[in-house]
Amino acid sequence: MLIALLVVSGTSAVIYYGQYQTEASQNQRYVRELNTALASYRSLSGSFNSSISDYGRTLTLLSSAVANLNTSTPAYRNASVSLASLWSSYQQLSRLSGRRALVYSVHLLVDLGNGTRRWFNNTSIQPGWNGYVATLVLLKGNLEAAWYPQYGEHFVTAVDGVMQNSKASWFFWDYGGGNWNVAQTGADGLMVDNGTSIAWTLCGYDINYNPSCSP
Amino acid sequence: MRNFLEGRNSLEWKSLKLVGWIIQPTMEKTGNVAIIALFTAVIVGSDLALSGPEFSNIKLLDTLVFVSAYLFGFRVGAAVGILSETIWSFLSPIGMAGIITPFLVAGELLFAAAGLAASRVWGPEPRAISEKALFLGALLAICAFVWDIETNAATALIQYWPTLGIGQLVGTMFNPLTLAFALAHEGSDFAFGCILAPSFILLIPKAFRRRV
Repeated sequence: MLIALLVVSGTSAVIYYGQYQTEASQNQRYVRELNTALASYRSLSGSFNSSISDYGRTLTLLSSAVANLNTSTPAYRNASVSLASLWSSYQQLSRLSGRRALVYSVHLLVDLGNGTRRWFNNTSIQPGWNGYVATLVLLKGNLEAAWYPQYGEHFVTAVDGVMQNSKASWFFWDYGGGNWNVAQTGADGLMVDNGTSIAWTLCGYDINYNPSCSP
Repeated sequence: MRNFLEGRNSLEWKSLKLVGWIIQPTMEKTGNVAIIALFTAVIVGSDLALSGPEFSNIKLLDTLVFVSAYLFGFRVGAAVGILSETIWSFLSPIGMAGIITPFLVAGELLFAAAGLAASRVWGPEPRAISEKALFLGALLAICAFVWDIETNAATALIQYWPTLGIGQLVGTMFNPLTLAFALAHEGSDFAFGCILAPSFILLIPKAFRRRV
């Protein structure tokens, strides 16, 4: 009886030991696969972060190109319209990657001159953008201008779909020292810093092109 | 030389004279090439130094093209203007000028022509130059005004071609932006024409004589 019990328990022990060995080897395989998957994930994550950085650099280059392209070319029109959506998707991807994109917060006012004022508060822009590019992105490309390569400046003729006319022109303003100051040389000359407030107003003007209104 | 020329017909002789005419002036103009290179280098360097927003549209380019033409003739002045404006049109930190470059270069030829005209009128006499400083400044300011008009018209042409109308032309040439830049350009050219141009016209020949 004792011998039979020993045989049965020994056989069971051998069977279970065999199953244990099989499970252990499967576990090791799973661990190896998990390690491989983790390495792939880390590599993918690194590539994603690298892609995000490249995306940021591409946006910088694209915004620089937009700032220096003749505004009548199809390339300018396409790029100026695409820039806003690219900037938005870049910010979303940066958030997904768990890190915050380096952005400046700005406030933009558009005064259409007929009592309609649109504020774009705490909107994010990329560091290095000038007043023109920032406006172009925040208004989703809804800006018309003539490009003066000899001055490196745009003369803005329409903002948010409202064209200038024979009596009123678009003026660009920068808030500083408690006052709104009209930009003497256009929006391209103003590098927008964090917390900057800028404005566009459709104003009449005197013979010396001094604006008759302010934001 | 005599042996070399013996037995050659008049056509060959004329050809040799033509070759000599081409080569000889080139060799004689080595000094001019050095002057052109020197002026161009100074212009491009000063353009870079004055490329910040605080010096918007203020440049020594016009004054130096004018002075080079005044002292060394139209061809040298024109070469300085063409080279320096072309280089700057590609190297400018605010971006390449692109298709407007020929118009910018053509505008610089005006300063070279003005330099030649001024030298014909006032000549190289130092006292006359210092007394005419205001006239030199005014001449440069007028040239700057014409340059602004010409390049703004070219901007309108490029921007609105082929549908350019009178309204678009006038609107592109005269607006708050162009007024601000024109004032900076013409004002600085007047100041440089009054102060720097007479000084350069007096000092550069002295410096060259000392070298020789």
